[in-house]
Amino acid sequence: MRPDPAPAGAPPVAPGVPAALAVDLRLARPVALAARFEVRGFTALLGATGAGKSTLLRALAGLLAAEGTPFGGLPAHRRPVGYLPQGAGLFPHLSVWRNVAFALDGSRRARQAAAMDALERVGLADLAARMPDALSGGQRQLVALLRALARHPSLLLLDEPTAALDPQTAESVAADLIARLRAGGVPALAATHDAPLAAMADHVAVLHDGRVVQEGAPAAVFANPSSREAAALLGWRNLFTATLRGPDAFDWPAAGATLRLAGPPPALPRATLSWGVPAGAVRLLPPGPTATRENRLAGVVSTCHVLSDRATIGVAIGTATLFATLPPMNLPALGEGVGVVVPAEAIRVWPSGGAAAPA
Amino acid sequence: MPGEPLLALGEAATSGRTAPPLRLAGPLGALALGFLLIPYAGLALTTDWGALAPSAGDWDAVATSVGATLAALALVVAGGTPLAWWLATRTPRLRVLLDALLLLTLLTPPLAMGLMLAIAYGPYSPIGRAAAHVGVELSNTPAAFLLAQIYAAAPYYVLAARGAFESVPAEYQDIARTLGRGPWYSFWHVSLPLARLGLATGLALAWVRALGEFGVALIIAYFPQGIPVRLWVDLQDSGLAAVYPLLWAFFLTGLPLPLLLGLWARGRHAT
Repeated sequence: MRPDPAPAGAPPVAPGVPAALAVDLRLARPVALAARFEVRGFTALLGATGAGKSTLLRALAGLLAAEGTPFGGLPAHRRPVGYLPQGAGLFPHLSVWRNVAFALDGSRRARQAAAMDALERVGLADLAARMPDALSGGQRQLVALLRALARHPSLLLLDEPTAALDPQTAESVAADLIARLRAGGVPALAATHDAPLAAMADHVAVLHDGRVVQEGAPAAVFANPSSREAAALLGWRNLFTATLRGPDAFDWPAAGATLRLAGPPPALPRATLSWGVPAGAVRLLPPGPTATRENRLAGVVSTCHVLSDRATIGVAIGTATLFATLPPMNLPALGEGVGVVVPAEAIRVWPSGGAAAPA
Repeated sequence: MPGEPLLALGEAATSGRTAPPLRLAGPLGALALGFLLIPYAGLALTTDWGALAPSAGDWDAVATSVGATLAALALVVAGGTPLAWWLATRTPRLRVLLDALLLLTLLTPPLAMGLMLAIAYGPYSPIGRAAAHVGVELSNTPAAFLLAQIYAAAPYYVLAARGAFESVPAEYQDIARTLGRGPWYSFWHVSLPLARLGLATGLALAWVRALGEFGVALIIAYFPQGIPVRLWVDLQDSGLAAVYPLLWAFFLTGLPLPLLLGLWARGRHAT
């Protein structure tokens, strides 16, 4: 027995299971997808609504016909996967312990004992006789997880695991879920459009336009989105259109300003480009003269969103709004004039997505 | 998580006050129920309770009706459940045609159905001749009576069961598959229990239809006499007074099963 409170039945990583599971799937319907990426530990599959994340998960589970690896050709009930649909999908007519025991064979007594054992290890034993509709979102998620893990899957698929949770608990439930999966050593793929969840993962794959456009460790992916679309999915709010001006500067027409780059931009096919900067890198100063050299601009505070641990300030500059995330102390007032510094080394530029990209 | 407050049950379900138009629902409902019960009140008031003695033939009719209806119901469930499941889960390509066929069986007046059964299964039909060849007469026999009840009851059961299966989200089947369960297991342990309310309704409807079947039976199964035909015979032979005992016996026989089915399905539904 392991001393840690790992989820029920979660086996240590089997000797034959590689640390990274390569996924290479192609399907035409209901969404055209050709996705190639790796699952490493808890992997977030980040994509916009309708990008085909759920489709990809269902294809991996064998619920939709697809070509490729892993598990190619196996029917759903023979695949070594656990699948948690949106909202956990507990069977509403079965009590908690019967849900957990659903995949187990054997006598009723043995199945109940195994389910109770699993529930005890996560501290839910006293809910065993309840029906699913009497559980909180987080508890449902956990029960669904135990149910899926009872089969010892070699891959766990989670569809929007935080979507059915209220915002207050989503983060802690997700952190708890990831910790349990890490402790159990079960690789997991979570489809999500929730950038904060992706930030907690071991590995992130960004799905856009039917393929995985970027993957890697969260720190690397979040700091260097491969495209404007990827940046938007990763939660970058400061995304704008610009025109290249010389080897190390660009015009930002919406703000009527010119910004300097830390180095020459990558080869861009057109002079029109997209640029972005993480809100956390933008600095606010007392109002002062603008200076292109330090990328110092002047604007007016137009929005202010204060949380307990941070504040997001929107600064209107020309027709654009630039967001800055700051500690929630000594904040400027709405309508107050401020100076803004956009550090050149934090700026990222990408080839423009075309005319459709809004300024 | 342990210690996390649980969602209060029924929190959203019980909203304080009833909107004004809904307040009329109670009195209007009572009025409608009263209207529906007028014939029964008439029956109760005119019944000579002191002289309520069913004849020996009446008891035979009750036994015939209950026995045959139970057998018919078993056959309707055995054949109708897979049919309803198939109808509920198929792609809607043939949907209109299947719906039309199903409605046709529901629409056919009982007397017409009796005539059609006589044409299809009677002694001069190929099926009737073939059945007679193996010793089964399909006219005025227990087998014919069973046939009449099946044709009367099956459409109701199939329609209700189809609706019940359709209301079970396909997601649960998918989840069962990802939990290593084949289609047969998921059907028994997921779809069937989740559809039970609708299935119980279908079963209750089928029971009522089969037990009360008169028109179809009159044509192809005058014998053996079930309760409805016997009522007719009692009326013809002895007049209205002879109908009362059998009618009350019919109510007492017919009511418990659908009542218990409803209680069972609802009781297990509300947890």
